[in-house]
Amino acid sequence: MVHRGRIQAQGGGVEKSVSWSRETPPTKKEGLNMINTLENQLSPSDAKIRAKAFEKARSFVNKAANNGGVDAQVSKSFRVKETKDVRVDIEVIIGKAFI
Amino acid sequence: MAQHLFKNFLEDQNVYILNVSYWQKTVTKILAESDRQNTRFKEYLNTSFANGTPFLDGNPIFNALFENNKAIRIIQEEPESNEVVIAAWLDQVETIPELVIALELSKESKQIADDFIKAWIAENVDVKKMQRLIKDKTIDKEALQDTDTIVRFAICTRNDDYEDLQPLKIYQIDEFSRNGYIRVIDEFGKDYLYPDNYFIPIELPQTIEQTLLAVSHNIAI
Repeated sequence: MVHRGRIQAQGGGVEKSVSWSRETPPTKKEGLNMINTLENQLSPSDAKIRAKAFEKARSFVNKAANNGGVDAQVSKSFRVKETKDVRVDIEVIIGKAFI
Repeated sequence: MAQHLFKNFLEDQNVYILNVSYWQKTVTKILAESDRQNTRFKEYLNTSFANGTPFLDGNPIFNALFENNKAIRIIQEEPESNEVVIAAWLDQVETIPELVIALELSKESKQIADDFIKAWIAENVDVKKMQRLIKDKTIDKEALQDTDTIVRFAICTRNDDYEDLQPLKIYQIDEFSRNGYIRVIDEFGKDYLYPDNYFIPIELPQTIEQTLLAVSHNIAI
């Protein structure tokens, strides 16, 4: 079975993502690493404005791991308040994630 | 001042369940009032962890895939201010266009959300019209409330770390943010975030402002 999904930084002129498509579901550690990788791809200002959103994304991955992971289809958007659409998204498209 | 609804939805599971039901009834009512009561919809997202524990975090509080092949996802955020807080954007679920609404639920934000849902599903407007409606309804009111006049333009004063910016050039302001950032629109119509201390907002005579806005919208004067 293929497990597929992505973590994205969106809005405010930014569209960066880290994705997975593989036969084993990504673990909590791998999920957190993907978030870190995405954060490091952004400019300092784009990362700074999304700092809280990245924290919420990490918290979701941790919570998921404590509850057996998540099964597709899951879509979470962690928006930066007081902006129109600046956010960090987690999408589990097929299979399982964050076990 | 916003009149919040289901204020403690994240603290009380019974309130949360009522809140979920409120959104389902809202969508059903909007469809009925638009003579679309036969439009069917179903959830397309999983809102529980693998062990069955529900997220219960309002993200999303409602999601539905409609038979016109459009989707709606509503994210309800914890009220943190007395202001009307609502944002919306269009996304894509595989090939299905998705309207995402993020709000602090209040009587005022609910009215705007209702308008979005009605336009997207009941009136079946296309992506372009929906984007325009979102822009019209979610203009950054908070920033505008800080001044008596609407500041629509700013002069760039520096470009260190951001070589795409041109000092002394006038940029159209798309959005202020309290996090120390400003979103401006470049000459190609694309919007980008920059630190707000790279710009000085300016007030222009109305005729000049109208001319510049018309140019930015490619409207012949």
